[in-house]
Amino acid sequence: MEILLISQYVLMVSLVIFLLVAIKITTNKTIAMGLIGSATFSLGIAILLLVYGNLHNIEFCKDIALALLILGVVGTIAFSIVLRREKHD
Amino acid sequence: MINTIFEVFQSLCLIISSVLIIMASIGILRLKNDMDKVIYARLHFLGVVDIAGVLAMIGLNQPLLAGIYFILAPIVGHAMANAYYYGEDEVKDDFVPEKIPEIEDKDEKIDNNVKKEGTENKKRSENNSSKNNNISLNSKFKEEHLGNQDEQYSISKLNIINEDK
Repeated sequence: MEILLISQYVLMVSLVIFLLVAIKITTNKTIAMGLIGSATFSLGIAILLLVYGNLHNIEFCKDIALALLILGVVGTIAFSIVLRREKHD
Repeated sequence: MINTIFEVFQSLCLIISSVLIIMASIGILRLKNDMDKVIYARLHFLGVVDIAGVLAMIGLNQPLLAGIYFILAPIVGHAMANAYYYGEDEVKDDFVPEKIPEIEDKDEKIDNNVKKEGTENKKRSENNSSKNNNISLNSKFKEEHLGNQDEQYSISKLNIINEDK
């Protein structure tokens, strides 16, 4: 159906805009802002891969998206712990 | 018939999530960097994007991924806010003052080199008055002009008087 196709393209465009915003946050001066930007950038890329895989029937896009989501979360939490420890040690 | 309803539901999810993502992006861009505690506001916006992502995953027939991220997103948000609160908040408030106060040396115990450095620091701060909140400038300033720990200690022991007084 056409409406599904159109909505997928609309989501792709909005995700590209969001990725640009995520790059803007990442290039901010504080470290925590960079952390937030990179975490959201990985989320945006994962969803973009899901949409693209759904459009063109590419199965391995889902696997990459899953890996990006989980590893992005793990990396963010690990870096947050390191950043938090900086003050107390 | 059921397929049509399902596809309409999917496309509705995708459109709602794209609208939420666009709104969050505009909100993040509208926030200015010089606001106080702007990072928490940005985290709040990104929480909206997280839920929009979950909605998009549901719309793309990936309920398992959506469930995983629905559980993980608040944990990540909390970790980032916690890291900023305990790790970097102190650094933000530590900036080079607009005007470095003059040093009053009543007993003339201060070394002449330290006095000279103080004058240079004052000139430098006046030149860089528009970039006072720059953290990198602050750290560079400390490294270059406050020197070793003994000098920092001697400066901290001085009787400091503001220019305004």
